[in-house]
Amino acid sequence: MIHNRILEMRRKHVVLAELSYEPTPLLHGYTDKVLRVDATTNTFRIVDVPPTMKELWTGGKGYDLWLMFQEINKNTRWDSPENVICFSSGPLGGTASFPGSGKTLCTTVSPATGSIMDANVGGYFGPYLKFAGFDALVLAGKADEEIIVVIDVPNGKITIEKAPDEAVDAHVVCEELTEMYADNEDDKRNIAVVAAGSASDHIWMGVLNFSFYDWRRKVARIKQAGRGGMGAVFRNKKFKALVIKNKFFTPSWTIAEQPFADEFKFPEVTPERVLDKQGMQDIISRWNSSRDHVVEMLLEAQARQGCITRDIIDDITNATGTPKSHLYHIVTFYPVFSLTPTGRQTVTGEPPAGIPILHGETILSSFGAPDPENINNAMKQGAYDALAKTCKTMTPDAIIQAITESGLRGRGGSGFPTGIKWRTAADAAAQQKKAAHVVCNADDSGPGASIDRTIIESNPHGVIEGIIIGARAVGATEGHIFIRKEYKTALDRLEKALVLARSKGFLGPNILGIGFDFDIRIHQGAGAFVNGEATAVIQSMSGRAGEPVARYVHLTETGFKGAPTVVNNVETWVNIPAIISRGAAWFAGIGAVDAAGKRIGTSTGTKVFALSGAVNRAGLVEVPMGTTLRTLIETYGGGVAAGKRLQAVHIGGPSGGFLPPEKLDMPLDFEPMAEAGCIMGTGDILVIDSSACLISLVASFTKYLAAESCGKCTPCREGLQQIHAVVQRIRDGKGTDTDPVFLEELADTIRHTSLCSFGGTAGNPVLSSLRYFRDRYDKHIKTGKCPSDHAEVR
Amino acid sequence: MAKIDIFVNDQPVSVKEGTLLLKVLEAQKISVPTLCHHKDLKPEGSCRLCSVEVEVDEQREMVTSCNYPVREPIRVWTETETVIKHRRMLAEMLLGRWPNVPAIKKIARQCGVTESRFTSDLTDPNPKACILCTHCVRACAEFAQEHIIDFAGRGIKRHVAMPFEKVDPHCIGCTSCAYVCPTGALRIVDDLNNPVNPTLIRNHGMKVNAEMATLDAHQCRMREVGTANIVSVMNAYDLLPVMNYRFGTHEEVYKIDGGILKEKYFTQNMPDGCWKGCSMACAKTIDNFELRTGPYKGQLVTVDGPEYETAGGGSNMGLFDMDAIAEFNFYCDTYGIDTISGATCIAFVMEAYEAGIIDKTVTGGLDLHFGQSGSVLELLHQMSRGEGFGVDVGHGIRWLKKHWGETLNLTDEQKAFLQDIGMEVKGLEVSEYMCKESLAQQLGYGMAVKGPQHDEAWLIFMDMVNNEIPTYEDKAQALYYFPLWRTWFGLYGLCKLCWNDVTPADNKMTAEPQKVPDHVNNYFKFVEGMTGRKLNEEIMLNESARVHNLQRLMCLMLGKGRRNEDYMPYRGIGPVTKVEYESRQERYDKQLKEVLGIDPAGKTTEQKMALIREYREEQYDKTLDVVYKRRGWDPNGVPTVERLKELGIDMPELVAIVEEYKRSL
Repeated sequence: MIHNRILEMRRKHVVLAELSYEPTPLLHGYTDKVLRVDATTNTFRIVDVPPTMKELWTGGKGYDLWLMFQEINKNTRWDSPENVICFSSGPLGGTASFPGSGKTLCTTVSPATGSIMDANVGGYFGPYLKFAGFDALVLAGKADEEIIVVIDVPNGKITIEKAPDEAVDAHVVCEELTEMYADNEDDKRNIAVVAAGSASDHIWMGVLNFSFYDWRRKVARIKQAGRGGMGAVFRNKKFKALVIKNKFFTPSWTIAEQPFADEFKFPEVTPERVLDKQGMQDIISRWNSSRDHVVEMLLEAQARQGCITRDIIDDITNATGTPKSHLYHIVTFYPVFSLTPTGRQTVTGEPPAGIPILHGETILSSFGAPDPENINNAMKQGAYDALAKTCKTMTPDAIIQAITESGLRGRGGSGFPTGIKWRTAADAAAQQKKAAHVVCNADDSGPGASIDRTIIESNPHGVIEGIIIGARAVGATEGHIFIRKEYKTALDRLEKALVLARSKGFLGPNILGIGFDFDIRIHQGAGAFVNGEATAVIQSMSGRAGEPVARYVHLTETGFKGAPTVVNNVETWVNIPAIISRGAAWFAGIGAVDAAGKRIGTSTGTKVFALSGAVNRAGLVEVPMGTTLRTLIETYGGGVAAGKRLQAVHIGGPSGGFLPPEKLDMPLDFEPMAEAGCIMGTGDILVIDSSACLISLVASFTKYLAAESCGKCTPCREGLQQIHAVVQRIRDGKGTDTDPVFLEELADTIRHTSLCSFGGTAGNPVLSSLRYFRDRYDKHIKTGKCPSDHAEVR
Repeated sequence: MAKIDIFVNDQPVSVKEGTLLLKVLEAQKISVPTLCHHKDLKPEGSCRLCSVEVEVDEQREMVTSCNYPVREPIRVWTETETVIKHRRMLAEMLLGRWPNVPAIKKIARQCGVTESRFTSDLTDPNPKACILCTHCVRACAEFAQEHIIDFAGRGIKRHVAMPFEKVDPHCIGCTSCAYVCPTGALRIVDDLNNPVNPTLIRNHGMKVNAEMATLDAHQCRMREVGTANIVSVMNAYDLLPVMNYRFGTHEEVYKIDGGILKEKYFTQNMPDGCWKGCSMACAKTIDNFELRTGPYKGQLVTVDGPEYETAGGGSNMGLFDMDAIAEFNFYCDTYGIDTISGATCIAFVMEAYEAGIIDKTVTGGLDLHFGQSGSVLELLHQMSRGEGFGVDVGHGIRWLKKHWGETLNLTDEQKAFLQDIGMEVKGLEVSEYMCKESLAQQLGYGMAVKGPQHDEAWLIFMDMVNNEIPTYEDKAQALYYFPLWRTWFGLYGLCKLCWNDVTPADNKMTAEPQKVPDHVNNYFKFVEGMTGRKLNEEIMLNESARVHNLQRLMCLMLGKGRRNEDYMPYRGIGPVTKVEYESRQERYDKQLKEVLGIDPAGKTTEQKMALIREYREEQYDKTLDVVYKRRGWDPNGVPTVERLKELGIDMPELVAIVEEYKRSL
């Protein structure tokens, strides 16, 4: 144990002189006191600075020289006992609010020049000397044995001690003394050491090393008073080191208290430690002490400890260098974390298993293999054939070309053409001479969402294969799958599938022998709807809370670690192998047609929807783009449940929109849906019958959305909160006539001014319901209560 | 950079590609409300108030102007009905939450909003409430790189916090956060020194912090590579000491410059100040460096540096190998060896070795050709062990010249050669600037009171790179002003780097850019804020001159501090060897022709060298005279009693030193 060694060393110290003193407080940068230490006589003297000295010589080097002038004479040489070394940091030294204000000035008679030498040096000694009550320090005389001088401010004590066992080399002795005199790790910042080094015993160009403890690196770092052999003088006087132990200093930082401050008050009682230090270290090591995985570390710690303690944050900061403030942001950002064992939700179970598959065409048809974890089985059904094909016969350009020609559009958001995204990233990577990154966002889902999860659970290899093909196309060497931890089955299968893919040479160095190196790692998310936003995913993967970033420079130019980054969602990636295997033309040919055989809509391929609510059959349905809502509900869902009347359909998840029955013939494609006021979103389609109160439904969405807002931008933070308040009061029969207009204006501003597409779409439930179901609002406002049969209101 | 023609409110404007739209609007004097925008911080785009309408490819959308880079020919509208409508709604939101905060009320007025429809139990009547402008969090990250504060919570409960809502003891108290806070929600004072007016200090210190955050990346890149940023600059201007100051440039410098340090060695994005709150953060380190020699061989250590002087010392010893320089750096530090004296002295020894003046019988068998990193490191280990040739080297150039003169059978010519190439003045080795072509720097070195260290007179940059002191008078004035100004920092405990290694964006437009007038003013305010004393240039120069003269007198008392001690060896003034002359023949020939009026044609290199030498040494002498006079010193470089009187330091004990010197003449 290093500490025992240090204690042993300290036991060997013999106190030769001791002085108790009261540090003089600083006034306007000065203490007006000088400390003189005489190593020959082992005595101290605290001297007042006369006003004329201050007036004429100011401080720092001026003080050093004047004090020296009182000591030396014309015959003084560097190794004369009357030679002194003076230290002083001037009246401005020790200021933190003006940069570069911490120098120590030193003077002595130099062995090299035989004349007056001065040097300035960084490190903490000079400022700490002032905080210890001295404008300057004079080291005089010569000791017989190796000594150190210790100025211990908290204990008001100055000592000269024999210190036989400490090292002479600076980087060792500074560490030893820092450790010896600090009460704990945090206290090390309060220790400043001055030392020379072993060569200073023998040469004339010896320096003085001044330490400052770098708590981030955990190293007592050193700066040098380099010129003219001061170290040689120091060693000639038999000084091994000078130590100042400064008082703990905590700035009096305050911020105006928020109305909800109580919720964040730190518990006075420290929770009992379940997860011990070793356990935490194990967790951290499992994630390679990487800043990219602090969310995962915190999730595991939360599961083991039942809350996040200071110790946990400290350990992660120490190991990864992630600022504590960022970790604290993360743990207060996701509801899955709590600061007290009895506090907020602590355990999130896995959501219920996916709903049944009602109909599949391309993506879903390959599902249902008896064992999705069995790679041989999957390969028999064609998994990784597309990868082999691209590796053998296609250039990266050709892959991008094929994806572009297929017309594939991103399934997760506004339907951005995948080929164009890849092309931009590939060009940027080539131009910047950087490896790109590819990311699969599997967190792109609201409550109850099941599509991405089901795809991963049933066909993990299809997703992985798509990512590998994309990586080669854009020139990436690293891939990432971002998935929330609570999707246990999906996560499990992915992890296993990655191991198997590696074992078959589909991942890792030199994939399929073509010199293509690529691997994928999984990032676990703590669960946030706003993580559907690509910039938020990148933040989360970089050790930050999952907040979107406002930017007009796309991730395809600068994304993860500043490199061009492609983020696509699960359903987009899983389409890739099929496009490659069966050709772009085949994919482009998929799309619903009208009675005359003409294509409806412009998008290609299929889209999976999750049908639920008042239908006869609920489950996942994969249909060609452009298929009408009616077909979906009637053909695949078996129509509206018996005895119910259709009131509305809500499409796209929490930030989706409500449509009236008249819109049933709307084709399910990006543009028509946007026009109608809903979005593809999560692909959830909720069929609502006449028994439900629409305003209550709207309120449940607005409540969810307000809670999921990250709070970064004004409209989303303040606006959603207000929207929910207004919808709630209308629902409760307390609405006013002006409320609908206010709601509409508000939702409109949120939509148009929000920072990310979460805010951009969060107004949908309100805007769409106001557009098609205004009467429901009016009725609630007018009658103060909810109409009994909602479909009959109009 | 390419210009792009855009339309702002239907008026054509031409802007540089990539300019942020808000900057364009500001330049057009178009007012747009902002909250999260701060001129010294990177755009955040979170308050959304600066949203305007932009049309790209016939598509109109709302964008936040603060972070929208103009990259294509867009049309911008700042006052459409849509923009105004949304702005007002945003203002209403803010006013509803913080109805009494003056900054919010001002924004609301600007947007034409006086009443808000937003009320909730979160409405905060505090006029000094935190309005989530994000300035403090960004300043903590961008000014100080500390990341001590951040947001916590989510959604409506987002708030600024230190971890666990407690003051983090790691907060250095730099007050950047309070400086940028628009409401006064955040309070912190830097009062450890108990200043007269901490706010005055802060307001001027933060100006420098802001410059570091916004300009350093385009100026010296101190945060990225520290002082080593000038390795490549010195090389480009032929000022880098190469192989004992023979040359000023080397083709392999890319192996030891800032570029490679940033890419492969220095840990980035760390608050690397050697004192708390130093936003310059130039104390770079190589972390986890594996040592290859010596008693700590195989250990992973943190190397503090290399700084410029150490990298320059590397080139001076012919080491174009960053691993070797890093190891040299580490062992010098821990053994307590001055990297500057060490490198300069070893470079001298190497030249003597290559010139055949010393051989392996002297070096103890070490091969000391330039570039022999193994031998260099072995010299350090010998210094630590107190044995071998290393101990001789550790006594410095002056000692070696004397020792060799006494112990080796040297010719007069060899002795003279060693005098010429031994780069020491007063017994101290010259720091790492090749000053042959800079008269100002030669004298800066020669006249520095303690010896040839650049901290008293670092004039080479303004002389040779920025060309700010072109005339003889300029140089003499610089040799009066700058040593005093630079000494001044030592009176107050300040670092000089923050003075001129970042400069205000408009510094070049000032009358005396080399002085960085705005920064000088910052320092005067700093003193005023601390002590209450108001400074001006005269007071400052006198404060400094008292100490400067005291030091010179103390040197005199010890039998030093006179003219004969103020000379540079000729290596620092002109070419000692033919190879040096020929390496810059064009320059020297030109000087012969244009300055001395001598046609170099038909003359041998030796003849030309002699002419150049005569001229340059004369120039040096003349300048010494002028500067002594300007400093109030006699022709022998001794402060006059009149000067002491003028400075108010004519106390008997000091006057006695001058009197005794006079008696000794």
